Amino acid sequence: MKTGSRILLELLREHGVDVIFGYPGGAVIHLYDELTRFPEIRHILVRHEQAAAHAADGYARATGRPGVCLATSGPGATNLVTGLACAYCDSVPLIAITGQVATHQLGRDSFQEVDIVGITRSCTKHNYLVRSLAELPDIVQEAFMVATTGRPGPVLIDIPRDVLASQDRNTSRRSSPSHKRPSRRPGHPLQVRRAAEAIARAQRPILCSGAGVINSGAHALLSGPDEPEPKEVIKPQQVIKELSQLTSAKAIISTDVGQHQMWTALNYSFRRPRTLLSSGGLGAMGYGLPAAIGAQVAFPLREVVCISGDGSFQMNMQELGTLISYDLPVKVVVLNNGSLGMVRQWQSLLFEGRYSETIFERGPDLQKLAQAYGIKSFRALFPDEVVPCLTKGLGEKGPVIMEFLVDPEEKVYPMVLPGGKLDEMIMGKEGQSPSCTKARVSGRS
Amino acid sequence: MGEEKERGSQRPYVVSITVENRPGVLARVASLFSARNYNIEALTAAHSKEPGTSMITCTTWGDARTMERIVKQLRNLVEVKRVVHAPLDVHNPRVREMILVKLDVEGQRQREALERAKKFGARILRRAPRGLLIEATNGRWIHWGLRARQTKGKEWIGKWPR
Repeated sequence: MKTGSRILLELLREHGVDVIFGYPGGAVIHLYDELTRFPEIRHILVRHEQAAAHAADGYARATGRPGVCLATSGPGATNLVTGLACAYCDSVPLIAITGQVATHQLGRDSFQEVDIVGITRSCTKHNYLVRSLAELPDIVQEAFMVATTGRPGPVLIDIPRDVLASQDRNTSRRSSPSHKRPSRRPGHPLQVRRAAEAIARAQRPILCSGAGVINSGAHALLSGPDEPEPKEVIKPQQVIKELSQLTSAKAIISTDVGQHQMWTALNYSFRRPRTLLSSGGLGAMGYGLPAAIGAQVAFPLREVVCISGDGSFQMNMQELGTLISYDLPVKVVVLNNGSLGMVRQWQSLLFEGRYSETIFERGPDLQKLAQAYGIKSFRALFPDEVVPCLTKGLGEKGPVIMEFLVDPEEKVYPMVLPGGKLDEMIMGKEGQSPSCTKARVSGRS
Repeated sequence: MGEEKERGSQRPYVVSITVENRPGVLARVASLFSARNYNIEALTAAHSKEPGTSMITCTTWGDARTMERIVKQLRNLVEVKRVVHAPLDVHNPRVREMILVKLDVEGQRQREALERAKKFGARILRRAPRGLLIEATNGRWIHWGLRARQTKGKEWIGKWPR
């Protein structure tokens, strides 16, 4: 006689799950109890469910295997939504397990009840409400298949409390419940030939490739030109370039969302697949730190750096608690410009510099914040302090916060205006704001 | 690239979707339309002859490009087995509308109505002294019936689909 919880954990184990990112609650209490009997499945207790989803996402992007996150019913489940939408936008394989009120309490506005299957219908690849224990094996099987095959994506499994707690009578597993087969089809031959011909004809080809290139194991090489370095104030680009040098461009980098994200993409010399973890599609601020946690859990010995801004970092900085609990040596780089730089840049260029609610008059002292968590921290105020700060920070064994007070006037170029076309981007010279030139890149529209 | 052009070429489509008969499938299919700001004009859903599968047939307005995108995305849904779509063509003999009308007519008028209904191939489901219940799948009858209702006033107090 096995409980639903036990069956679920056995199924997860069968699918090679070694880590779950989660947060407990009433509806999943039986599952958490059973978890103590599964030492081979490591549970990472985050400080907010959103971070559980982002961490599972970071884990999946870094490893290529599906990430698993777990939350209780109601608010636990709704807190996952941003993370699911983020994974859905970027086609990241994720299994989200949520607790639900007992089946007899469904649809009665019970305590901590939400229709999470309804809520996440449009931000998951597929989702399930497990109506009885008998359905569970088939659903889990199918969920992993849906999440990892074809175009990957997040799949949510909502399990009522009584299903998790109930005893199994006959675990006769039905087989192949769905007609959908794992699809890993070769490319369309004619389209492939067309692409090959276009590349062969091109004088200076630029390849813009989707994540499918990495998912299928075909990796592209990229290279970018260097720019002259500025003086006096810390230019954010300088920080990223030095970081790229000091880590031999081999670290796993997670970013948050904003200017620092663009600067990272432009200035860190990424060479390997699965080393840039970034919320590209949804643009979810607060993604960086939990994603770095996910990657570090997956690769304890690799260098994992979270590059963030002072805005994004404050959205999930509670996860510093998770860092210290598991002694995860994530290095956090905060490019502090005292503002929401990306929006500020738009306001500067499109709204005549009316900075409506994008400047933080005061921010937390990150050095003291680090101290509160018992994390080492370093700060650089001037350009000549950048390299020493990074060297010291990266040299530490445990987690570190490295803060760089960067030029708040610095802008990201090239920039595409909202709704604008890619051949009408604003080029502008880096280090020289706001006089920017609108360059029309030659080419057909 | 021509958003106007897209809007200009809107036309009605019939989409026929074979799905696994599981709870929530209809909601999933419907929300795929609504998420793209497409309105489903008419919809039927029922079991099909294959066990465990249902058939959802709906009509909607759209342009060819978006319709193609919707159909492709429908095919990506786990529970969807087959999708076919075609522009709605009223002259296609497979395009049928069905109507069930309750007519409050007595005496001579009832006899007239019966005659007309028979002439246009409608079926009389029930005949009572105070009214008729008529079923028709013939498009011509439906249009004639609607017109008659509008022009002849009281005589055709159709209690529309009940």
